[in-house]
Amino acid sequence: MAMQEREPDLSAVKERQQEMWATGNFARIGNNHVIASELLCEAADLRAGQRVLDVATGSGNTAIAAARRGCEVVGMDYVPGWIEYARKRAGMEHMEVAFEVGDAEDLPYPDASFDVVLSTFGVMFAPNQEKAASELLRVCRPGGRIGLANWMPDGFTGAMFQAIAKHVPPPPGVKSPVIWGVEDRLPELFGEEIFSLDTTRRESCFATFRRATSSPASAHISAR
Amino acid sequence: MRKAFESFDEAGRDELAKDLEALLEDRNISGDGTLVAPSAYLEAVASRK
Repeated sequence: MAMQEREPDLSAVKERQQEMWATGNFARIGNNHVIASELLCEAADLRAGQRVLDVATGSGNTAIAAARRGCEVVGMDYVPGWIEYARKRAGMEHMEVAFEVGDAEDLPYPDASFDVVLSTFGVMFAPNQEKAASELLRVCRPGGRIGLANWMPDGFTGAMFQAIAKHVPPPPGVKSPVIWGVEDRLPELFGEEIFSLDTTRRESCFATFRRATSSPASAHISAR
Repeated sequence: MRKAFESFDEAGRDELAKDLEALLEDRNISGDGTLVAPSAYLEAVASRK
């Protein structure tokens, strides 16, 4: 068997992901996990006026949670449809959040341009994990904070990814997103660039769907 | 780029649906006809040097 390529075609992986995220009703799933965004903003100890970036903002949950705390927020995602959706949500609360299209592995922002960089079930899906982590560090100012919420391998979502991978093997060279939810992985990703790391195991429920007819839950969740 | 999806035939999709259904069954704590599946996640806050 051939050895794994050192540089798998990650742009193709990303393109496929974008199509996938754009097709399902992921906002409805995301809305189940607003609580994780609110808790992350508390954990990151946001203060009014801080400049905050929400990477892979999706439907805008974390960007909006940060804006509720008076922060100056940019929400970024690579799915244009979500950016529009997030903009509407923030508009409903009369909050000014800059929602922009961009790539988590190539953040369109200068070095050290944010006080706090957040991502809730977002950056973990970037195919090139090391590149994505280095981008989080790059745009965060010295002394600033990086706050993440990442699904863990042993949780429901982790088990779901495993079930999907059994049938649709991930492309060679692409690491499982849920290793961002393994405590030891984060020091690997951030290396010597951080001086502290506080972690908490939490749970967020998938609880939107009724289960009786034709399994709408599995139809939606399998797409994720 | 869409090879994985295209090669995923109907039988494969059914198998996957069955596995996901079993997983939902296993993780559902609702006790009624609804779905309540707690999912563990790691909340992490790092301070940048």
